[in-house]
Amino acid sequence: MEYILQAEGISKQYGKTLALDHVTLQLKKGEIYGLIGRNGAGKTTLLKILAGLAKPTDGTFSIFGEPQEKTKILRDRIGVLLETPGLYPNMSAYENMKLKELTLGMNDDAYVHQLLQEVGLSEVEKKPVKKFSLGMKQRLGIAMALVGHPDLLLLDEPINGIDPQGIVEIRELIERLSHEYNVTVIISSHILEELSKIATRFGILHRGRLIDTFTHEELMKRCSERIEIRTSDPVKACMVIEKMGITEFKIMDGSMIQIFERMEDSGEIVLELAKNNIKTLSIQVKNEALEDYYLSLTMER
Amino acid sequence: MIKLIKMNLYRMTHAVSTWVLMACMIAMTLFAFSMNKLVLDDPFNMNLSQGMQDVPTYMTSIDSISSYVQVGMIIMLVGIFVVIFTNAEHKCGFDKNIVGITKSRAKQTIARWISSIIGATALTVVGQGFYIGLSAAFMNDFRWDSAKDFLCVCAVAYLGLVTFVTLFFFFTTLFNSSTGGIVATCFISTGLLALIESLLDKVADKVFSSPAHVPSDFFLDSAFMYLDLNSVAVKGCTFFLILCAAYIVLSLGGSVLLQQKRDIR
Repeated sequence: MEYILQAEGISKQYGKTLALDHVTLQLKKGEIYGLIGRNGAGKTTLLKILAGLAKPTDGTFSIFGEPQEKTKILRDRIGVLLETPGLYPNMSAYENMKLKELTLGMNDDAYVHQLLQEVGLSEVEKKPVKKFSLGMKQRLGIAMALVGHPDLLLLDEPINGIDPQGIVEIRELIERLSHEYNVTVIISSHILEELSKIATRFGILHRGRLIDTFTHEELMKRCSERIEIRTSDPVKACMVIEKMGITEFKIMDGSMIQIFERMEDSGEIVLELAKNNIKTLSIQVKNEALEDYYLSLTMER
Repeated sequence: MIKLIKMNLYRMTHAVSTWVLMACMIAMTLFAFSMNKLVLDDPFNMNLSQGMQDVPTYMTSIDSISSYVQVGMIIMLVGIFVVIFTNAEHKCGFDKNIVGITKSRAKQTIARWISSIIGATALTVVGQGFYIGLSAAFMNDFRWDSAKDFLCVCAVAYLGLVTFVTLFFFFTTLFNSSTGGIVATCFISTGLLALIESLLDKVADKVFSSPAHVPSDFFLDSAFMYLDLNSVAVKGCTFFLILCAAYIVLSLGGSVLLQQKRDIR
């Protein structure tokens, strides 16, 4: 399997604050990796280290199979959008793009126009960036990250401030880049619903630590529809449920039972429990989203 | 390196601040010329201000350089340009787009330094050219020095300018902010630093009783402002050249080191 990126025990300390704590991750070519975490979880710090903007206090990483010390010769294959896009406010979108293009040793006006068209900014390319809305700046930031046909895209909150139509367009653009050009993408976002639609794998960063990683399929399993029952006697309740022929269930945090089949039989389950003198304290049919899963995971810690 | 310089020059020519500073430079040149002409056209006033010394009533091409370049205001304007240009990338966050993809931060810093010098040169050439042009056209008695002497003085003055640019470049990199850079620039170019230097000289004079070199000899501002450009072609200025070389190496080296160690925020 070809790994585009391998990070081993990456830590970063700012003064007394440990922003990243031994983060280990691997990315396969063409993957879209969704990085989830609240503000200050260390997402931006991790992306900055991978982009070569900050140095890790500890740990090593390799990009495109080259170790950290040699990655600088390959960095022009990485496209970066970190936090708010860094743009010259008095210059136009076209001029900002041109600067990035010249840095990479390119000089192709048609290519700049094409990229601006891809992100829906071709009509305002001559307008100074200071007159852009946040969403337009984000679009321009994404276009800048795409200059030079990068093989790896590091996008930090790329859909911040973008309108719903724009979010769909950006999502389609990222998916197209991944499918058609096999571009590998790490994308962090607070809009977890959007992230769950686009990412093929997820990593949850919490207080600098990568506490969980899972694929899209695993997420679907974890977030599938289920019945959640709280009873006066969970152990006995499990035996009753088993007797009913239900096999797909588990006890969560000692008191709640999650059942993953026969959603339509919730009434029958309550009845059966009552017959066995088990009091049902609450019952819900739930369909958890990535957001709920993320919250349940981080609230525990 | 070439592509980075190209990018920086594109940025410079498309920045409003460059053209505003160019306009300021022309306005300041006009002001400096008018003042100089007033004084030279009225030698009586000049003699009074110079303590009745025998002062010539004509201006040579070398005089026009020394009376222009060795004025703190011009150095300050060049300094402000360097500070704004050097810090712009960091201020707006554009460095996040390019630092990562640049193969060497040292090359990136050197490319920015070279671009700063090109910009400062353009500013000074326009200002100085305009000043000489005005002097040749409107001074009652303007005399051209020999081409060899004139070019020699131009080269020394240019080296001084490059050294100032490098020093301002270093301060901007060190403070990582326009404010810090501009404060340092004003401190040096307005003569505030010279006050401290004269105090240091007095202390050194008392401690070492008439030393061969006083501390102010080693400060770039004093060394440049008091350099007699009229005698440079004849006597040379080895000490000044060595001092400039030392400042350039130390300031540029320091800037490169700072950039290599620093995280981009």
